[in-house]
Amino acid sequence: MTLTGLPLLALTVAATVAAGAATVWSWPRGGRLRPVSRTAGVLLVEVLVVLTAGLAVNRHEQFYPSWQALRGDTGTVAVADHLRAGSLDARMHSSRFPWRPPELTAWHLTGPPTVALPRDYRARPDVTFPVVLVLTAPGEHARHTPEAVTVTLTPTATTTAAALRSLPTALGHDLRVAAAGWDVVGAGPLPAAFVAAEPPGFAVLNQPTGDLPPALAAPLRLPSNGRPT
Amino acid sequence: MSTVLTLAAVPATAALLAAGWNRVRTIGRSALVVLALLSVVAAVAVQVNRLTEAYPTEAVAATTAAGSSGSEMLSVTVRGPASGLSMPMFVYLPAAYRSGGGHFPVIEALHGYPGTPLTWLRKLNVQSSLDRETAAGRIAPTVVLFPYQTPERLLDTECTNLHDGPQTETFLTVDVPAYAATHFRVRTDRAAWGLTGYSAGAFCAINLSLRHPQQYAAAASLSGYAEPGINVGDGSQNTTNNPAWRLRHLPQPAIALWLGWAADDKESAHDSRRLAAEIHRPLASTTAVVAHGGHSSAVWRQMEAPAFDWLSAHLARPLP
Repeated sequence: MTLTGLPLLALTVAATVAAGAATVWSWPRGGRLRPVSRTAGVLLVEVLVVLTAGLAVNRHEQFYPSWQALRGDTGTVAVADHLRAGSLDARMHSSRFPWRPPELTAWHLTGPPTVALPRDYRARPDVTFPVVLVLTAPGEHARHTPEAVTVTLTPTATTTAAALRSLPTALGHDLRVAAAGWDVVGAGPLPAAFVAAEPPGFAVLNQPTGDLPPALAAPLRLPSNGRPT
Repeated sequence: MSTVLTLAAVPATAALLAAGWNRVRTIGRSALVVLALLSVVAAVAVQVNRLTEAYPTEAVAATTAAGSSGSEMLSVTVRGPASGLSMPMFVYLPAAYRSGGGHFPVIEALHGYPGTPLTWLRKLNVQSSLDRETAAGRIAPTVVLFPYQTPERLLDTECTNLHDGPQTETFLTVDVPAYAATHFRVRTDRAAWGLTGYSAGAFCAINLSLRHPQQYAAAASLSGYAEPGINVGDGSQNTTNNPAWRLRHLPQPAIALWLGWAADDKESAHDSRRLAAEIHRPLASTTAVVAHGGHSSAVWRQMEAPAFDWLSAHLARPLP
Protein backbone atom coordinates (compact mmCIF):
# COMPACT_ATOMS: atom_id res chain seq x y z
CA MET A 1 0.00 0.00 0.00
CA THR A 2 1.62 3.26 -1.11
CA LEU A 3 1.98 6.21 1.26
CA THR A 4 0.25 8.64 -1.09
CA GLY A 5 -2.32 6.24 -2.56
CA LEU A 6 -6.08 6.40 -2.11
CA PRO A 7 -6.38 2.93 -0.50
CA LEU A 8 -4.36 3.99 2.57
CA LEU A 9 -6.28 7.25 2.83
CA ALA A 10 -9.61 5.42 2.50
CA LEU A 11 -8.50 2.95 5.16
CA THR A 12 -7.66 5.69 7.67
CA VAL A 13 -10.95 7.49 6.92
CA ALA A 14 -12.86 4.25 7.48
CA ALA A 15 -10.89 3.53 10.66
CA THR A 16 -11.62 7.04 11.93
CA VAL A 17 -15.35 6.65 11.32
CA ALA A 18 -15.35 3.18 12.91
CA ALA A 19 -13.38 4.38 15.93
CA GLY A 20 -15.73 7.35 16.29
CA ALA A 21 -18.80 5.11 16.13
CA ALA A 22 -17.29 2.65 18.60
CA THR A 23 -16.43 5.45 21.02
CA VAL A 24 -19.98 6.86 20.85
CA TRP A 25 -21.43 3.36 21.32
CA SER A 26 -19.24 2.57 24.28
CA TRP A 27 -19.59 6.00 25.90
CA PRO A 28 -22.47 5.09 28.28
CA ARG A 29 -21.15 1.53 28.74
CA GLY A 30 -18.03 0.02 30.29
CA GLY A 31 -18.90 -0.05 34.00
CA ARG A 32 -15.98 0.74 36.26
CA LEU A 33 -13.61 0.83 33.31
CA ARG A 34 -15.66 3.53 31.62
CA PRO A 35 -13.11 6.37 32.14
CA VAL A 36 -10.42 4.17 30.64
CA SER A 37 -12.46 3.04 27.62
CA ARG A 38 -13.66 6.58 27.00
CA THR A 39 -10.12 8.00 27.17
CA ALA A 40 -8.80 5.31 24.87
CA GLY A 41 -11.64 5.93 22.41
CA VAL A 42 -11.08 9.70 22.35
CA LEU A 43 -7.32 9.27 21.90
CA LEU A 44 -7.81 6.73 19.11
CA VAL A 45 -10.16 9.04 17.23
CA GLU A 46 -7.79 11.98 17.68
CA VAL A 47 -4.79 10.02 16.42
CA LEU A 48 -6.73 8.73 13.42
CA VAL A 49 -8.03 12.21 12.54
CA VAL A 50 -4.49 13.65 12.63
CA LEU A 51 -3.15 10.68 10.65
CA THR A 52 -5.85 11.06 7.99
CA ALA A 53 -5.24 14.81 7.70
CA GLY A 54 -1.49 14.24 7.46
CA LEU A 55 -1.91 11.63 4.74
CA ALA A 56 -4.27 13.92 2.80
CA VAL A 57 -1.84 16.85 2.99
CA ASN A 58 1.11 14.63 2.03
CA ARG A 59 -0.89 13.16 -0.87
CA HIS A 60 -1.58 16.67 -2.14
CA GLU A 61 1.88 18.17 -1.57
CA GLN A 62 3.95 15.00 -2.19
CA PHE A 63 6.47 15.86 0.54
CA TYR A 64 7.09 12.16 1.17
CA PRO A 65 6.02 10.23 -1.95
CA SER A 66 6.99 6.81 -0.54
CA TRP A 67 7.64 4.91 2.65
CA GLN A 68 11.36 5.06 1.76
CA ALA A 69 11.20 8.85 1.61
CA LEU A 70 9.42 8.95 4.98
CA ARG A 71 12.26 6.88 6.47
CA GLY A 72 14.77 9.41 5.08
CA ASP A 73 16.19 6.87 2.64
CA THR A 74 17.30 8.66 -0.55
CA GLY A 75 18.85 5.59 -2.17
CA THR A 76 21.74 7.76 -3.25
CA VAL A 77 25.24 8.41 -2.00
CA ALA A 78 27.42 11.30 -3.12
CA VAL A 79 30.84 9.97 -4.09
CA ALA A 80 34.11 11.80 -4.61
CA ASP A 81 35.34 11.92 -8.17
CA HIS A 82 38.47 9.91 -8.81
CA LEU A 83 41.41 12.29 -9.03
CA ARG A 84 43.82 10.89 -11.61
CA ALA A 85 47.48 11.83 -11.37
CA GLY A 86 48.89 13.53 -14.45
CA SER A 87 51.07 11.32 -16.59
CA LEU A 88 53.86 13.91 -16.28
CA ASP A 89 53.51 14.30 -12.49
CA ALA A 90 56.27 11.81 -11.70
CA ARG A 91 58.54 12.76 -14.59
CA MET A 92 58.80 16.52 -14.20
CA HIS A 93 62.16 17.92 -13.21
CA SER A 94 61.28 21.59 -13.53
CA SER A 95 58.30 23.81 -12.90
CA ARG A 96 58.66 25.22 -16.41
CA PHE A 97 59.09 22.95 -19.43
CA PRO A 98 58.20 22.56 -23.10
CA TRP A 99 55.09 20.39 -23.47
CA ARG A 100 55.12 17.82 -26.28
CA PRO A 101 51.87 15.81 -26.23
CA PRO A 102 51.08 13.44 -29.14
CA GLU A 103 48.48 15.95 -30.45
CA LEU A 104 51.10 18.70 -30.85
CA THR A 105 51.60 18.35 -34.61
CA ALA A 106 47.87 18.71 -35.29
CA TRP A 107 47.83 22.14 -33.61
CA HIS A 108 50.28 23.70 -36.12
CA LEU A 109 52.04 25.87 -33.53
CA THR A 110 55.39 27.59 -33.93
CA GLY A 111 56.78 25.14 -31.37
CA PRO A 112 55.80 23.15 -28.28
CA PRO A 113 53.79 25.14 -25.71
CA THR A 114 55.55 26.16 -22.51
CA VAL A 115 53.97 24.92 -19.30
CA ALA A 116 54.62 26.81 -16.06
CA LEU A 117 53.42 25.10 -12.88
CA PRO A 118 52.32 26.79 -9.67
CA ARG A 119 54.89 26.61 -6.91
CA ASP A 120 52.83 24.16 -4.83
CA TYR A 121 51.95 21.77 -7.68
CA ARG A 122 54.10 18.92 -6.38
CA ALA A 123 53.34 19.61 -2.73
CA ARG A 124 49.59 19.17 -3.30
CA PRO A 125 49.12 15.89 -5.17
CA ASP A 126 45.44 15.65 -4.16
CA VAL A 127 44.14 18.76 -5.96
CA THR A 128 43.52 19.96 -9.50
CA PHE A 129 44.71 23.43 -10.46
CA PRO A 130 43.04 26.14 -12.52
CA VAL A 131 44.45 26.80 -15.98
CA VAL A 132 45.58 29.93 -17.78
CA LEU A 133 45.97 29.31 -21.51
CA VAL A 134 47.93 32.11 -23.16
CA LEU A 135 48.00 32.53 -26.92
CA THR A 136 50.89 34.84 -27.75
CA ALA A 137 52.40 36.43 -30.82
CA PRO A 138 55.80 35.14 -31.99
CA GLY A 139 58.68 36.45 -29.90
CA GLU A 140 56.67 37.03 -26.73
CA HIS A 141 57.82 35.43 -23.49
CA ALA A 142 55.99 32.55 -21.86
CA ARG A 143 53.78 33.61 -18.95
CA HIS A 144 53.62 32.37 -15.39
CA THR A 145 50.67 32.61 -13.00
CA PRO A 146 51.52 31.73 -9.38
CA GLU A 147 48.22 29.96 -8.62
CA ALA A 148 47.54 28.25 -11.96
CA VAL A 149 48.97 25.88 -14.51
CA THR A 150 49.93 28.32 -17.26
CA VAL A 151 50.23 27.08 -20.84
CA THR A 152 51.75 29.53 -23.31
CA LEU A 153 51.52 28.70 -26.99
CA THR A 154 52.22 30.60 -30.18
CA PRO A 155 49.78 29.79 -32.96
CA THR A 156 50.56 30.06 -36.67
CA ALA A 157 48.28 31.11 -39.51
CA THR A 158 47.15 27.49 -39.90
CA THR A 159 46.21 26.96 -36.23
CA THR A 160 42.45 26.59 -35.85
CA ALA A 161 40.13 26.56 -32.85
CA ALA A 162 38.78 23.21 -34.07
CA ALA A 163 42.26 21.67 -33.95
CA LEU A 164 42.90 23.09 -30.45
CA ARG A 165 39.79 21.37 -29.10
CA SER A 166 41.96 18.38 -28.27
CA LEU A 167 44.19 20.51 -26.04
CA PRO A 168 42.10 20.38 -22.83
CA THR A 169 41.90 16.57 -22.95
CA ALA A 170 45.63 16.32 -23.64
CA LEU A 171 46.48 18.66 -20.78
CA GLY A 172 44.08 16.82 -18.46
CA HIS A 173 45.89 13.59 -19.33
CA ASP A 174 49.35 14.98 -18.57
CA LEU A 175 48.65 17.26 -15.56
CA ARG A 176 46.17 17.69 -12.71
CA VAL A 177 44.08 20.56 -14.07
CA ALA A 178 40.52 21.80 -13.50
CA ALA A 179 37.87 20.66 -15.92
CA ALA A 180 36.23 24.11 -16.05
CA GLY A 181 36.87 27.78 -15.42
CA TRP A 182 39.93 28.09 -17.69
CA ASP A 183 41.21 31.57 -18.39
CA VAL A 184 42.06 32.01 -22.08
CA VAL A 185 44.30 34.99 -22.69
CA GLY A 186 45.02 36.51 -26.07
CA ALA A 187 43.96 38.97 -28.73
CA GLY A 188 42.43 38.35 -32.12
CA PRO A 189 39.82 35.86 -33.28
CA LEU A 190 41.53 32.56 -32.33
CA PRO A 191 41.26 32.83 -28.50
CA ALA A 192 37.63 33.90 -28.81
CA ALA A 193 36.92 31.06 -31.25
CA PHE A 194 38.57 28.57 -28.87
CA VAL A 195 36.34 29.74 -25.97
CA ALA A 196 33.24 29.62 -28.18
CA ALA A 197 34.04 26.08 -29.33
CA GLU A 198 34.15 24.74 -25.77
CA PRO A 199 31.05 24.00 -23.66
CA PRO A 200 29.58 27.03 -21.82
CA GLY A 201 31.38 27.70 -18.55
CA PHE A 202 34.53 25.83 -19.58
CA ALA A 203 36.61 28.90 -20.42
CA VAL A 204 36.45 32.67 -20.06
CA LEU A 205 38.27 35.06 -22.34
CA ASN A 206 40.78 37.40 -20.71
CA GLN A 207 39.40 37.24 -17.18
CA PRO A 208 41.47 38.72 -14.33
CA THR A 209 43.68 36.07 -12.72
CA GLY A 210 42.06 36.91 -9.39
CA ASP A 211 38.82 35.48 -10.78
CA LEU A 212 40.31 32.03 -11.29
CA PRO A 213 38.70 29.27 -9.23
CA PRO A 214 40.68 27.76 -6.34
CA ALA A 215 42.78 24.61 -6.58
CA LEU A 216 40.46 21.93 -5.21
CA ALA A 217 40.30 18.25 -4.32
CA ALA A 218 37.95 16.05 -6.36
CA PRO A 219 34.37 17.11 -5.54
CA LEU A 220 31.55 14.99 -4.17
CA ARG A 221 29.10 14.27 -6.95
CA LEU A 222 25.58 12.93 -7.25
CA PRO A 223 24.47 10.94 -10.27
CA SER A 224 22.86 12.97 -13.05
CA ASN A 225 20.40 10.19 -13.89
CA GLY A 226 18.78 9.51 -10.50
CA ARG A 227 19.72 5.82 -10.42
CA PRO A 228 20.17 4.45 -6.88
CA THR A 229 23.82 4.15 -5.83
CA MET B 1 9.71 21.62 26.25
CA SER B 2 6.75 22.70 24.08
CA THR B 3 6.73 19.25 22.47
CA VAL B 4 6.50 17.48 25.83
CA LEU B 5 3.84 19.86 27.15
CA THR B 6 1.58 19.70 24.11
CA LEU B 7 1.93 15.94 23.70
CA ALA B 8 1.16 15.42 27.40
CA ALA B 9 -1.85 17.71 27.13
CA VAL B 10 -3.55 15.45 24.57
CA PRO B 11 -4.07 12.38 26.83
CA ALA B 12 -4.67 14.67 29.79
CA THR B 13 -7.55 16.49 28.10
CA ALA B 14 -8.90 13.18 26.74
CA ALA B 15 -8.92 11.75 30.27
CA LEU B 16 -10.56 14.92 31.57
CA LEU B 17 -13.25 14.63 28.93
CA ALA B 18 -13.85 10.96 29.78
CA ALA B 19 -13.94 11.48 33.54
CA GLY B 20 -15.79 14.77 33.62
CA TRP B 21 -18.48 14.08 31.05
CA ASN B 22 -21.10 12.84 33.52
CA ARG B 23 -20.33 15.47 36.13
CA VAL B 24 -21.10 18.56 34.07
CA ARG B 25 -23.92 19.76 31.85
CA THR B 26 -23.98 21.06 28.25
CA ILE B 27 -21.68 24.06 28.65
CA GLY B 28 -19.16 22.09 30.67
CA ARG B 29 -19.20 19.21 28.20
CA SER B 30 -18.68 21.64 25.31
CA ALA B 31 -15.74 23.17 27.15
CA LEU B 32 -14.19 19.72 27.66
CA VAL B 33 -14.57 18.89 23.96
CA VAL B 34 -13.07 22.24 22.93
CA LEU B 35 -10.19 21.71 25.35
CA ALA B 36 -9.46 18.27 23.88
CA LEU B 37 -9.59 19.65 20.33
CA LEU B 38 -7.33 22.57 21.22
CA SER B 39 -4.74 20.25 22.73
CA VAL B 40 -4.64 18.20 19.52
CA VAL B 41 -4.37 21.33 17.36
CA ALA B 42 -1.57 22.66 19.59
CA ALA B 43 0.34 19.36 19.46
CA VAL B 44 0.06 19.23 15.65
CA ALA B 45 1.08 22.89 15.31
CA VAL B 46 4.17 22.38 17.47
CA GLN B 47 5.23 19.34 15.42
CA VAL B 48 4.66 21.16 12.08
CA ASN B 49 6.70 24.06 13.46
CA ARG B 50 9.48 21.66 14.47
CA LEU B 51 9.48 20.34 10.92
CA THR B 52 9.61 23.74 9.22
CA GLU B 53 11.45 25.83 11.87
CA ALA B 54 9.07 28.67 10.95
CA TYR B 55 8.91 29.90 14.55
CA PRO B 56 12.10 28.67 16.24
CA THR B 57 11.26 27.68 19.79
CA GLU B 58 14.71 27.60 21.29
CA ALA B 59 17.08 30.51 21.51
CA VAL B 60 20.12 30.12 19.29
CA ALA B 61 23.49 31.05 20.68
CA ALA B 62 24.75 34.26 19.13
CA THR B 63 28.03 32.59 18.26
CA THR B 64 28.62 28.93 17.65
CA ALA B 65 32.26 28.09 17.29
CA ALA B 66 33.58 24.69 16.27
CA GLY B 67 36.57 24.71 18.60
CA SER B 68 38.78 27.66 19.44
CA SER B 69 40.37 27.74 15.97
CA GLY B 70 37.50 26.26 13.99
CA SER B 71 34.69 27.86 12.07
CA GLU B 72 32.13 30.23 13.58
CA MET B 73 28.40 30.68 13.07
CA LEU B 74 27.45 34.23 14.01
CA SER B 75 23.98 35.67 14.50
CA VAL B 76 23.61 39.26 13.30
CA THR B 77 20.83 41.67 12.38
CA VAL B 78 20.88 43.32 8.97
CA ARG B 79 19.18 46.70 8.95
CA GLY B 80 18.68 47.40 5.25
CA PRO B 81 18.45 51.02 4.19
CA ALA B 82 17.65 50.13 0.57
CA SER B 83 14.78 47.75 1.34
CA GLY B 84 13.66 49.26 4.63
CA LEU B 85 13.71 45.73 6.08
CA SER B 86 15.48 44.66 9.22
CA MET B 87 16.01 40.92 9.61
CA PRO B 88 18.34 38.52 11.40
CA MET B 89 21.02 36.62 9.49
CA PHE B 90 23.44 33.84 10.35
CA VAL B 91 27.00 34.13 9.08
CA TYR B 92 29.37 31.18 8.66
CA LEU B 93 33.02 32.15 8.93
CA PRO B 94 35.46 29.39 7.92
CA ALA B 95 38.38 28.48 10.18
CA ALA B 96 40.76 30.22 7.75
CA TYR B 97 38.85 33.49 8.30
CA ARG B 98 39.75 33.48 11.98
CA SER B 99 43.30 32.29 11.57
CA GLY B 100 44.50 34.58 8.78
CA GLY B 101 43.88 37.59 6.61
CA GLY B 102 42.62 37.91 3.08
CA HIS B 103 39.23 38.33 1.48
CA PHE B 104 36.86 35.43 0.97
CA PRO B 105 34.27 34.38 -1.61
CA VAL B 106 30.64 34.49 -0.46
CA ILE B 107 27.60 32.26 -0.85
CA GLU B 108 24.11 33.40 0.13
CA ALA B 109 22.12 30.34 1.25
CA LEU B 110 18.34 30.80 1.26
CA HIS B 111 15.69 28.88 3.18
CA GLY B 112 12.36 27.40 2.10
CA TYR B 113 8.83 28.47 2.92
CA PRO B 114 7.50 28.21 5.53
CA GLY B 115 10.79 28.26 7.33
CA THR B 116 13.82 30.09 8.59
CA PRO B 117 17.59 29.70 8.15
CA LEU B 118 17.51 27.44 11.21
CA THR B 119 16.67 24.53 8.93
CA TRP B 120 20.11 24.97 7.36
CA LEU B 121 21.69 25.09 10.83
CA ARG B 122 19.78 22.30 12.55
CA LYS B 123 18.23 19.88 10.08
CA LEU B 124 20.90 20.18 7.39
CA ASN B 125 23.85 20.52 9.83
CA VAL B 126 25.37 23.02 7.46
CA GLN B 127 28.24 24.13 9.70
CA SER B 128 29.57 20.56 9.99
CA SER B 129 29.08 19.98 6.29
CA LEU B 130 30.98 23.15 5.34
CA ASP B 131 33.75 22.36 7.85
CA ARG B 132 34.11 18.84 6.44
CA GLU B 133 34.20 19.96 2.79
CA THR B 134 36.66 22.74 3.56
CA ALA B 135 38.96 20.43 5.54
CA ALA B 136 38.87 17.92 2.67
CA GLY B 137 39.90 20.67 0.24
CA ARG B 138 36.72 20.25 -1.81
CA ILE B 139 35.68 23.84 -1.16
CA ALA B 140 37.86 26.88 -0.67
CA PRO B 141 37.34 28.75 2.61
CA THR B 142 34.11 30.66 1.97
CA VAL B 143 31.88 32.98 3.98
CA VAL B 144 28.30 31.69 3.83
CA LEU B 145 25.38 33.99 4.65
CA PHE B 146 22.02 32.65 5.82
CA PRO B 147 19.56 35.57 5.57
CA TYR B 148 15.81 35.44 6.20
CA GLN B 149 13.57 35.83 3.16
CA THR B 150 10.33 36.20 5.15
CA PRO B 151 9.84 39.62 6.80
CA GLU B 152 6.58 38.16 8.13
CA ARG B 153 6.95 34.48 8.93
CA LEU B 154 3.83 33.38 7.09
CA LEU B 155 4.20 35.77 4.14
CA ASP B 156 5.62 33.91 1.15
CA THR B 157 7.79 36.42 -0.73
CA GLU B 158 9.78 33.99 -2.90
CA CYS B 159 12.56 36.60 -2.52
CA THR B 160 10.73 39.08 -4.76
CA ASN B 161 9.88 42.73 -4.29
CA LEU B 162 6.17 42.38 -3.65
CA HIS B 163 4.05 45.11 -5.19
CA ASP B 164 2.99 47.31 -2.25
CA GLY B 165 4.74 44.84 0.05
CA PRO B 166 8.14 43.93 1.51
CA GLN B 167 11.12 44.47 -0.81
CA THR B 168 12.86 41.18 -0.13
CA GLU B 169 14.76 41.03 -3.41
CA THR B 170 16.33 44.40 -2.61
CA PHE B 171 17.15 43.21 0.90
CA LEU B 172 18.91 40.07 -0.39
CA THR B 173 20.72 41.61 -3.36
CA VAL B 174 21.58 45.08 -2.02
CA ASP B 175 21.37 45.25 1.77
CA VAL B 176 22.83 41.85 2.60
CA PRO B 177 25.85 42.23 0.25
CA ALA B 178 26.45 45.76 1.57
CA TYR B 179 26.29 44.51 5.17
CA ALA B 180 28.70 41.68 4.39
CA ALA B 181 31.14 44.02 2.64
CA THR B 182 31.06 46.44 5.59
CA HIS B 183 31.36 43.92 8.42
CA PHE B 184 33.43 41.04 7.04
CA ARG B 185 36.55 40.49 4.95
CA VAL B 186 34.76 39.33 1.82
CA ARG B 187 35.37 39.80 -1.86
CA THR B 188 32.86 42.18 -3.37
CA ASP B 189 33.26 41.30 -7.04
CA ARG B 190 30.72 39.27 -8.95
CA ALA B 191 33.11 36.36 -9.67
CA ALA B 192 33.27 35.55 -5.95
CA TRP B 193 29.53 35.64 -5.14
CA GLY B 194 27.13 32.72 -5.44
CA LEU B 195 23.64 31.71 -4.33
CA THR B 196 22.06 28.50 -3.12
CA GLY B 197 18.83 27.43 -1.47
CA TYR B 198 16.42 24.55 -0.92
CA SER B 199 12.76 24.42 -2.01
CA ALA B 200 11.45 28.02 -2.22
CA GLY B 201 15.02 29.14 -1.45
CA ALA B 202 16.16 27.19 -4.51
CA PHE B 203 13.65 29.07 -6.64
CA CYS B 204 15.07 32.26 -5.09
CA ALA B 205 18.64 31.24 -5.98
CA ILE B 206 17.73 30.56 -9.61
CA ASN B 207 15.56 33.65 -10.00
CA LEU B 208 17.95 36.08 -8.31
CA SER B 209 20.97 34.78 -10.24
CA LEU B 210 19.12 35.17 -13.55
CA ARG B 211 17.92 38.65 -12.55
CA HIS B 212 21.29 39.81 -11.17
CA PRO B 213 24.03 38.18 -13.26
CA GLN B 214 26.19 41.25 -12.67
CA GLN B 215 26.27 40.29 -8.95
CA TYR B 216 26.33 36.48 -8.91
CA ALA B 217 28.48 34.12 -10.96
CA ALA B 218 26.81 30.84 -9.99
CA ALA B 219 23.78 29.39 -8.20
CA ALA B 220 22.87 25.93 -6.90
CA SER B 221 19.22 24.87 -6.63
CA LEU B 222 18.22 22.07 -4.23
CA SER B 223 14.71 20.97 -5.28
CA GLY B 224 13.74 24.25 -6.89
CA TYR B 225 10.89 25.43 -9.08
CA ALA B 226 10.52 27.16 -12.42
CA GLU B 227 7.83 29.59 -11.20
CA PRO B 228 7.28 31.46 -7.92
CA GLY B 229 3.77 30.14 -7.24
CA ILE B 230 2.68 33.45 -5.66
CA ASN B 231 1.12 36.64 -6.92
CA VAL B 232 3.87 39.28 -6.87
CA GLY B 233 1.23 41.96 -7.47
CA ASP B 234 2.51 43.32 -10.75
CA GLY B 235 2.09 40.24 -12.95
CA SER B 236 5.85 39.58 -12.95
CA GLN B 237 5.28 36.05 -11.60
CA ASN B 238 4.42 35.23 -15.23
CA THR B 239 7.32 37.11 -16.78
CA THR B 240 10.42 38.65 -15.23
CA ASN B 241 10.09 36.80 -11.89
CA ASN B 242 9.50 33.52 -13.71
CA PRO B 243 12.76 31.68 -14.59
CA ALA B 244 11.04 29.48 -17.19
CA TRP B 245 9.78 32.61 -18.98
CA ARG B 246 13.12 34.37 -18.62
CA LEU B 247 15.06 31.47 -20.13
CA ARG B 248 12.65 31.32 -23.08
CA HIS B 249 12.23 35.02 -23.79
CA LEU B 250 15.32 36.89 -22.58
CA PRO B 251 19.01 36.57 -23.49
CA GLN B 252 20.56 34.06 -21.11
CA PRO B 253 23.33 35.42 -18.85
CA ALA B 254 26.87 33.99 -18.62
CA ILE B 255 26.42 32.34 -15.24
CA ALA B 256 26.49 28.71 -14.09
CA LEU B 257 23.53 26.83 -12.54
CA TRP B 258 23.50 23.57 -10.59
CA LEU B 259 20.05 21.98 -10.60
CA GLY B 260 19.44 19.15 -8.14
CA TRP B 261 16.19 17.28 -7.47
CA ALA B 262 14.81 13.98 -6.19
CA ALA B 263 13.42 11.80 -8.96
CA ASP B 264 10.20 11.19 -6.99
CA ASP B 265 9.65 14.91 -6.18
CA LYS B 266 7.22 15.37 -9.05
CA GLU B 267 6.84 19.13 -9.19
CA SER B 268 10.48 20.01 -8.59
CA ALA B 269 11.71 17.24 -10.93
CA HIS B 270 9.38 18.44 -13.67
CA ASP B 271 10.32 22.10 -13.21
CA SER B 272 14.06 21.43 -12.93
CA ARG B 273 14.05 19.28 -16.09
CA ARG B 274 12.08 22.01 -17.82
CA LEU B 275 14.66 24.64 -16.83
CA ALA B 276 17.59 22.40 -17.81
CA ALA B 277 16.04 21.86 -21.24
CA GLU B 278 15.73 25.63 -21.81
CA ILE B 279 19.33 26.45 -20.85
CA HIS B 280 21.78 27.26 -23.61
CA ARG B 281 25.05 29.12 -24.11
CA PRO B 282 26.37 31.23 -22.48
CA LEU B 283 24.48 29.89 -19.45
CA ALA B 284 26.08 26.67 -18.17
CA SER B 285 24.18 24.01 -16.26
CA THR B 286 24.91 20.86 -14.28
CA THR B 287 22.21 18.47 -13.06
CA ALA B 288 22.20 16.10 -10.09
CA VAL B 289 19.41 13.66 -9.23
CA VAL B 290 18.77 11.84 -5.96
CA ALA B 291 16.91 8.54 -6.52
CA HIS B 292 14.12 9.16 -4.03
CA GLY B 293 13.30 11.08 -0.87
CA GLY B 294 10.61 13.47 -2.06
CA HIS B 295 10.71 17.10 -0.94
CA SER B 296 12.45 16.60 2.38
CA SER B 297 15.45 17.43 4.53
CA ALA B 298 16.91 13.98 3.84
CA VAL B 299 17.25 14.92 0.17
CA TRP B 300 18.80 18.30 0.94
CA ARG B 301 21.26 16.76 3.39
CA GLN B 302 22.37 14.50 0.56
CA MET B 303 22.66 17.41 -1.86
CA GLU B 304 24.28 20.14 0.20
CA ALA B 305 27.92 18.96 0.10
CA PRO B 306 27.95 18.27 -3.69
CA ALA B 307 26.21 21.63 -4.26
CA PHE B 308 28.73 23.56 -2.15
CA ASP B 309 31.62 21.68 -3.83
CA TRP B 310 30.29 22.63 -7.25
CA LEU B 311 29.74 26.25 -6.20
CA SER B 312 33.30 26.61 -4.92
CA ALA B 313 34.65 25.30 -8.24
CA HIS B 314 32.59 27.95 -10.04
CA LEU B 315 33.47 30.91 -7.82
CA ALA B 316 36.67 32.89 -7.57
CA ARG B 317 39.12 31.86 -4.87
CA PRO B 318 39.97 33.70 -1.65
CA LEU B 319 42.42 36.55 -2.21
CA PRO B 320 45.35 37.18 0.15
